[in-house]
Amino acid sequence: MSTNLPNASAIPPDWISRRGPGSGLSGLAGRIRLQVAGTDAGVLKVANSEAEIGPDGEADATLNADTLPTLVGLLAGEVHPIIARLQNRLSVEGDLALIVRVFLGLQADSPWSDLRPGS
Amino acid sequence: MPETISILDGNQFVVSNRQGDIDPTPTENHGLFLNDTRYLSRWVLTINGRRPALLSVDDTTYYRVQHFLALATGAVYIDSHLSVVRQRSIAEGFRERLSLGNHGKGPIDVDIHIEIGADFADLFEVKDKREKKGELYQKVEADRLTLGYRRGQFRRETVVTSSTTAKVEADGLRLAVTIAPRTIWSTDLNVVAAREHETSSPAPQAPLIEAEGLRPDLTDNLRQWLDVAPKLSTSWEPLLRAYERSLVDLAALRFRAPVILASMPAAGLPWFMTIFGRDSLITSFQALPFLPELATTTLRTLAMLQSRAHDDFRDAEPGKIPHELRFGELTAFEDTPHSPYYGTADATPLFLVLMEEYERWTGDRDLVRSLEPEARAAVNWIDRYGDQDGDGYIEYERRNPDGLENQCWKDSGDSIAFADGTLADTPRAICELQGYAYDAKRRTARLAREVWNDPAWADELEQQAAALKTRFNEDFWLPERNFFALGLDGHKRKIDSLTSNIGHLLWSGIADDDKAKACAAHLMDDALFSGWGVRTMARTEGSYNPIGYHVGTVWPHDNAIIAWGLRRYGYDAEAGRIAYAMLEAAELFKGRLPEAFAGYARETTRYPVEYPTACSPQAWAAGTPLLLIRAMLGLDAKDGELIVNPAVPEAIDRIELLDVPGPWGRRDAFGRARVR
Repeated sequence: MSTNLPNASAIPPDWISRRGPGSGLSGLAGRIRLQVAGTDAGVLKVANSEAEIGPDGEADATLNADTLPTLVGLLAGEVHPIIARLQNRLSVEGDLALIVRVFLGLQADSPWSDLRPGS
Repeated sequence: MPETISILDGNQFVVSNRQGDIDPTPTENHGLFLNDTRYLSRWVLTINGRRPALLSVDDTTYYRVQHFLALATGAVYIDSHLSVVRQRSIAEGFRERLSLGNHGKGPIDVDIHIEIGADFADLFEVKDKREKKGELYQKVEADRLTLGYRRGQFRRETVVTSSTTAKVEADGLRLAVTIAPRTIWSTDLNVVAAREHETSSPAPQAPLIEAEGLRPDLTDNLRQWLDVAPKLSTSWEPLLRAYERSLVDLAALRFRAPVILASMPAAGLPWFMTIFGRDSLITSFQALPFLPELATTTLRTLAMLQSRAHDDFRDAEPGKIPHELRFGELTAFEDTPHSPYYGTADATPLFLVLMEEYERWTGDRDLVRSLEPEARAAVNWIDRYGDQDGDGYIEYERRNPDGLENQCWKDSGDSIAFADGTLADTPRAICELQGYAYDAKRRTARLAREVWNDPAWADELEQQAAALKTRFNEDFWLPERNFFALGLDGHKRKIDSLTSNIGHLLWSGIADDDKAKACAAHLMDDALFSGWGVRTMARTEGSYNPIGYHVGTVWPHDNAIIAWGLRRYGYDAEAGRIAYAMLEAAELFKGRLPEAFAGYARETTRYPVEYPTACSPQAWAAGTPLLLIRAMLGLDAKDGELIVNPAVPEAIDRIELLDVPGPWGRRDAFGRARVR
């Protein structure tokens, strides 16, 4: 389990308030700590076919993206998680099966689908 | 005698010539491979400018090999005072102990050169050489040679070191040594195939050669693997050899990779050393009464990779179980769709089949409970996306033009043809897909009732299965030929060739009894049965070719499934005949059944004829003797009990399988041939 978020200011503010359904997330429940180059960027919470990002809290797994655009691309369903892994653009710790399921699920649709890498 | 020598540990493997050199030719694809990437494409030993001559090779262990060589004098007979032994073991790359023995009376000066090259070809590029899009580089340092490839953040490196001081050059290592008389000089060469996060500093290596030989960890691991498997005792020795070979090959094919959950079987050496949904599911099914942990990983990993989205590039829809996952450069940059690719219409129902079989053989309800969402998504895929046109049958048609044209197990381009040899048009509803769907629904109904506590859904699934069976026996039956059509083509015409696919319908139980009887007769008739096994296609058909990949060859796993299906319908003698013939073939292949062999009639060939490019070892061929043993002993698991209903061929006479694992703990199963 991860500890509390030390630096909430790394999170783009418009992520936090966003909460929404994802048809690919059915049957999933869990919390994934998001990081960019090792710096915390929020906790993705998935339950009841919905996802949201909160500023802190416990997590079952950590996804560490190399850059913010990679993380945004993953959240928006634009970047495929296996591709990002094979290109060495992300690393994971903890519950790998949760991370793969959630980010494959966001490929279907995503509350962050209007975000674009670089935003 | 094979021209190439392969050693492997999961999806890392080395293919060399018999001298131990990696020296590819247009017909032989040598290399050090890991995660679908060739980390070495050249590794050639010369001594004083000459290649030593081969004496013999010891490759009795799958993860290490010894090449015995001598420096020839050029005469007809090798009369050399300098012996050369190359001991190589696979280890995230490989380790090679090179030993030179001076058997003469005076010292010998030798100039040893290892020529080294790495093209970092993706496995898909090995056959068809393509221009690399990234940059190849070399780094020459005092103690190491690094060969690398970079494309964006995708990096792969091969680092070569020697335990003895060597002169490092851009294309290899050079060692100049003087060997005293009656002594053996040796050096340890270390080749590290570095994954991306290790490229800056390759992991330190453990001592190269332990007292017990190369890779004692693998020796221990293999011993443990063999210890937990049931013990076989039989009056027919070849069965024992095939069984032991199967267990070792299944151990060899286990692999780990960046995005899989635990070790699971790769499909086959050399081209299919990765996850294939169908192969992993069938192999795990075959191994369930023997090594149930393979099924645990297969179910968990395939559930994790189950598609959750529509994806034309990957031929995916929600709920679909993947076909193939690759780790090389072409996959990483989406030049190919294997990340994973989902072009398989049978893996999704087979996933449900394995899940239910797994629960009966292990009693592991926790895992099955956790997979309920994936099971529901899989059933939804069968009904909604597998059946695109709503006719009640699974059919397939690729959306990616580079995807697989055939998404059933006979996935070569020419496999689905009418009796006159005309290729069927698409989409294609192949017969066994409907059988698997029927079986999947019946099995899922049991899990719904007993594990997921949803009796209404169970009733619904059973009704759907019953309706499918009725419909199928009408729509796929060929009354004029008295067997089931291979499938329905894009115009719903029955594809009327006689193929082994009808045997899978017996395994699934979808065939009506009278129709099963007719199919059993066809399966044992000379047109399909070669004497060594059931051919993929009968020799009476227009496309038949005894060395055609799916149109005439004999596939061991196919035969094991057919034998098990025959027993389901009570055709015990027929099942025994297939099992015995297949095991006789295994004996002639030194215990190791290949992926496929030629369909020539047994009366014309005393030996089964090898298929030229068959993979070996191949996971579901290795699993074949296990399912045949199960068929001969009539093993089943029901309500927490081991069922034994033997039908052992007379020629085999006695089979005892001790310590069969299951919810009952460990039980023994005995079978003797009935005396007429």
